[in-house]
Amino acid sequence: MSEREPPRDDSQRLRGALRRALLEVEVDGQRGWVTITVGPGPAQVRAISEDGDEGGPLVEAALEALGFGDPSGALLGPQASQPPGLRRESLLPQGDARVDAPLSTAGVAFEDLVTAIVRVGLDEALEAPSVEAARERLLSACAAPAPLGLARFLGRLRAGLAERDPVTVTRLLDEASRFASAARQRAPSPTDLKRIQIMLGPGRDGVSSVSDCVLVELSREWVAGVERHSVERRLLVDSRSGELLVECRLQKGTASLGPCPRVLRVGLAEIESGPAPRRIHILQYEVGHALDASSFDSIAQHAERDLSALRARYQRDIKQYPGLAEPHALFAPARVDRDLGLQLCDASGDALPLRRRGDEGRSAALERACAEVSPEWVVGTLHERPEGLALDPCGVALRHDGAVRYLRLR
Amino acid sequence: MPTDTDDRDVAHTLVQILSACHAAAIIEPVERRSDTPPAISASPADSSFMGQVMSPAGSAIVVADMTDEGTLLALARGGTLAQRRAALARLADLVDYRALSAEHLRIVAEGVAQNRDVELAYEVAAVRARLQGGGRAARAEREAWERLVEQLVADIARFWDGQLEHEPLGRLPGSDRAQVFLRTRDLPDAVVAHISALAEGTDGLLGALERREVLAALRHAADARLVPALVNVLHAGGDALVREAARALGRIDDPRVAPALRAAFDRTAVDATHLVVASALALAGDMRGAQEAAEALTRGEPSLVPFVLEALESLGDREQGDALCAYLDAPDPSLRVRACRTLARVADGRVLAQLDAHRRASKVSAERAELEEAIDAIVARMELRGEEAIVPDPAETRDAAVAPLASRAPFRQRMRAYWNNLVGTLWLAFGAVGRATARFETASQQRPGWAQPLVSMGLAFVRRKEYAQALNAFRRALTAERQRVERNPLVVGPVARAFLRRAEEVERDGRHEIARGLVIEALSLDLRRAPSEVRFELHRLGDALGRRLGE
Repeated sequence: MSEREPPRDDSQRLRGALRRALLEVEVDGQRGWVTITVGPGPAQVRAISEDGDEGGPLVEAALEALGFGDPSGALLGPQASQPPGLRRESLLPQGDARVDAPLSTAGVAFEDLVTAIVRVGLDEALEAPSVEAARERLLSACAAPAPLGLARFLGRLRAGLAERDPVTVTRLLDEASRFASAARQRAPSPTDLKRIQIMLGPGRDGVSSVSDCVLVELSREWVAGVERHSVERRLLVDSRSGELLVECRLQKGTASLGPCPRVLRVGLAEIESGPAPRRIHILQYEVGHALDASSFDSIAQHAERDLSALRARYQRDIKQYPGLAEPHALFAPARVDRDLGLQLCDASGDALPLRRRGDEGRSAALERACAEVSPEWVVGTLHERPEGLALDPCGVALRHDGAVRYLRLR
Repeated sequence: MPTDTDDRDVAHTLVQILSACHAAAIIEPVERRSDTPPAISASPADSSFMGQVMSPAGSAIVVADMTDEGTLLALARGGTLAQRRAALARLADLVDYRALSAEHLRIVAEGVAQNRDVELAYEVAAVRARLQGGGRAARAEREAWERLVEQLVADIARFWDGQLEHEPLGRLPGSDRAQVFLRTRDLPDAVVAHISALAEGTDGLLGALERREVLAALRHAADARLVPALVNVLHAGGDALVREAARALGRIDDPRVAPALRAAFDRTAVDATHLVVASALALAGDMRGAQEAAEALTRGEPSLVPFVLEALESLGDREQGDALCAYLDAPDPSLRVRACRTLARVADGRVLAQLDAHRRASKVSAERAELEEAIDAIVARMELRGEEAIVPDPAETRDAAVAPLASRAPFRQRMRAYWNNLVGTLWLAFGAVGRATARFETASQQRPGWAQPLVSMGLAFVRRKEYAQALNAFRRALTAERQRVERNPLVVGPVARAFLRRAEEVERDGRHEIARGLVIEALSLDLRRAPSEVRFELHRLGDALGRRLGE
């Protein structure tokens, strides 16, 4: 409010001093609580009912009672036009409104989601109407079907809330918060633009073409998107660089054909810039259906062997994109420790444990496969636990009678 | 932060601080500690021998330590699926270790030969292969299998290279395909990856119906390499696919199975799919669906009855015996057969008398066979529990049913028929099929009700791959001496195969109704002595044709 002209009468003075108010309002027999918040900087007024609605008769009546009312209901939603002096900073100037309105709306919706979850707390957030409403607003702010980045974000958030996993939920809310800040910028930085592209789908500048490379698909799974198990994700490794990539598709979308595991000779593909693992769209390819010795050799060459480096990479990825990065690892252990369940150790003796909770039995399956032999390398998803990183295995290469075999675990 | 700070700002600042704290903590090495997975909920306590063998809570009796072949054979007959498999595996080990005397080996061979459960085809074959040793027949069988796999691997490579237009498994003869699905555990990784792609629908060729057929065929594969694909189907497939995937998963011994099935169980409403998933979960050692299955049995909703019976195979208890017996009189033959199988697994000794009465009254060989199998399984389980089964000697009454009808002909007429049959066989040995057939026909006319010449004629046609002609001869043989034909493994196998091959021929011509009629006719026979892969393929083909015809 400080940037506005000083109020001229008492009611204006009152409104100038107001930061937050909780009103019980009754309209046509319907009664409910409305929270009104007035932002500190450039004027921001926000009203939300206990159901999470930012519009409706209760909200209008509450705003009117405090003198923020507008008969046209102009203040009530982020998509509505703002009266002079009360325009939210997150909304872009009028000239850009047509282009950036959805982005701005998405930004506000992300803000709401963060606020709603923090308000109700981790234990209640999964079923809370305000959180569900914020989620719906976020989805309606984007074109249907929801872009992959957003779909995955929402899927992971729901899973994190269901498991009451504070680490995952915090990361995702941090990402939402960063997105909201990025969307609010009049001139977003390249980092902000990239964040927006990853979440809402890349433009042409967010994609690079690759040709003539050999990829090895190691696992495929259906992960949560907007709906449960609505995104298929295939994990591939570039045999030249060792980079892990993912090919994703929505349930009715298309992806490359072929079994898993397999070798793909890619004629043309597009890779989106973004968090690890980057998304790849395979356009022209040939399937060589079985993994041969050279595939195993090249993968083994690129496998990570130092756990401190792996942790540093994970930290870097997570710091950059806390809610978008889903770091995977291809790790070749120097040895395994079976004393307290299977743990993968590097040469210095540092151990990477397996994820036991929420791993759907994959760790136990890996343990069973490694009962008599040591793994050559293990590929999997990295997860944070209170004690540190753990690996949820996707597959393992084992040496049997001199030959290496790959066992797909997911 | 001031006390009047906006909720929004508080929330955003909070999550940023927390996130940064977590990120900073990652760099620290992990303190090693034990992190054991949550235990699977144990099945209801059963303090009998049956409950103690391989109990999820920690087995008091370890199958791998058992040495008494009688107990192992009974366990292979009357135990749970996991117990039956473990018992057969132990028998195979005992044969391998030369731990059995000649007399004990004979008992094992006889006992295993009587175990005709398709679910155990792989394990039974393994014991039999060890019993046979490196004989000529075993070697020929092994070489045929190796040729089949080699060809399949080459065809699969050509398929993915785009040089083969059709899917290679689909073009295999039915019994070969059935062998592939029953012996999946012996297949190379490339073939399993191909089958997984078919199950997941990433082959770009199969439609929904064909994909469902592939999944149905994987029911007894029991190969852990298929788990990722089947779990993916469980997550993303429609109801029909989920049911097939659950059935296949439940029969795989792998730590990933129970969590995937539990998730599917939690998200499906109580209906057909829920019951199938509950049943699969019970096979994996988790009995959480027992109450719902029992309630569904009490409700008796007609559309759910087949699924309730299927669920109770693994979830039922002995108190449900009477309710299940009611379905032995169901008008639908498939329900009667299913009820037999469920009763066999529930194993309530009190229903033995009812089963025996139905067996005596049954006019359909297949049903009689199912009833006999159920009686044997219940008796075996009662033996394991230390109980005594009160039932008329099944072997005695079963053998008495084989009526020596043909022996009533006069001696001279019988001798002439023998002579013509002998000459026909000699002509056949020289390849003169026409002459041989004429002799067999004469012998058959001279001694009506004697199946031998008709069987010989049928077998000759089978060798020439003239299955339509063979069917005619076999049908006549079955009319003459049905039980002799059904009880001879050397005859009933080719009979079943002739029906299967002819059904496949007719199906390829697009006459699905006729093909289904042939399969149903074959399945009405007592096929317990026919090879597992042929029985498996007949059932699979029957189901597939049923679905195609919209049933």
